[in-house]
Amino acid sequence: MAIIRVTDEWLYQYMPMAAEALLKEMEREVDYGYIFSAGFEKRMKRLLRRERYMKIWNVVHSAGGKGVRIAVIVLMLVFVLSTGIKAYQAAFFDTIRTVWEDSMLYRYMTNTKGSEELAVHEPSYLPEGYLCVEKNVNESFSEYLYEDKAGGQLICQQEMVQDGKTVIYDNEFDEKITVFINGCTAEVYRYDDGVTCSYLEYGNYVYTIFAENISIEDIRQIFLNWLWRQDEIKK
Amino acid sequence: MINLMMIDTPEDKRKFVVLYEKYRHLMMKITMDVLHDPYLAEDAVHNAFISLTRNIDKVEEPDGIPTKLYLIACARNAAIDLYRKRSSQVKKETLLEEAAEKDGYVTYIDSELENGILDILKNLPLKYRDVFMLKYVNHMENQEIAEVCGILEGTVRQRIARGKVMIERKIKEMEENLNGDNTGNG
Repeated sequence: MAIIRVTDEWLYQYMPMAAEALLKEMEREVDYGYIFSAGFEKRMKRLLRRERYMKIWNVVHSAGGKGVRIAVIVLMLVFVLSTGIKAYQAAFFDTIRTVWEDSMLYRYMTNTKGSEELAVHEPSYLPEGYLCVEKNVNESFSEYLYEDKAGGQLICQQEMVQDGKTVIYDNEFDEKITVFINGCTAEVYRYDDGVTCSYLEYGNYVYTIFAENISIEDIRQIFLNWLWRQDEIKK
Repeated sequence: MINLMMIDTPEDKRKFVVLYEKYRHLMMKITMDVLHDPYLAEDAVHNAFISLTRNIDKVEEPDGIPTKLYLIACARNAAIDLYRKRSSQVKKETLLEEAAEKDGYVTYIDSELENGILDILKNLPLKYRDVFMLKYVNHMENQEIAEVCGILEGTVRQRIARGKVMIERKIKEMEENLNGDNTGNG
């Protein structure tokens, strides 16, 4: 019997068939007679009737007009002056980590309002042979994708921490290594397929490196030359 | 209120209403499979629809399979999110595995091998299956999949790579079993 190779083309052919079969099974089990609670119906009606609320808001806003805007500005000034500018700009974030059987949940708490722009740092050190093939940058996230001649991938991601954001990492690693870099701690997870995931929190950001077959020293150098200027690196 | 600002056009609003009427019971089944509590399941369905208001542009044909898969993934992610906020580790894994087993098996094609392949794909562990469905049926980009599933794009790539290896291994085992059966019957 011919060996089946699970390629993208093969999956594009077979997954739709599997999806159709799966949905038919699921739909047979759906209880269409279920009566939703009054609380749920009320919440969904509120969600579905947004337009009426938006019209009312627009009328109030235009009627309030200048007076409303001045009141808002005064309130903002009072808030800023009472809390102190330094306190208002203080960047605090904490991470709650929950370990499940096969995954880790990271939940972030911060007192910043996310109004600052992402200070993009592009990695300046790369292991030999890697070239940048793709960049994705938006107001809170940047990602650089590198490849070597053998097709090995290296992904560097920088993300601004947002209050309440949760991220899930797979927990099926073979080895966890803690690496101390310039006063910070990086967690390096190695998986049985050769992939390494490295994680570091610094400032208002979370930095992540995904790579295949990479050494700890390369990970250290990538972080060191990505997050800090030369004059900021402790001897 | 903030979420409602995401649905701009009358067409999207109509689409949202149609999706709600058509799929709320299906999404309720998905969230009940995870949460086993009708009130929590309703909360998760509500949260999933709120998430949908932010991504209504990702939905095309309301009756299409990609739309159903997308809503299922949203509902499951909302249920898992709610579960994680409320319950303990052991229970969560047990519930998710039970939910996966409930999907059962079905045959739609004459070939025994192809039926086996479909069963393998249908019965992938949930966290792999959702990623594979969104990528190879919905044709979503890795970053979009990451947003729906609440994971990083690097994790999406990892799950795809590991999932492929898992599928190949299971197909090989199935072929060996089929060959063994044929030899025995011969």
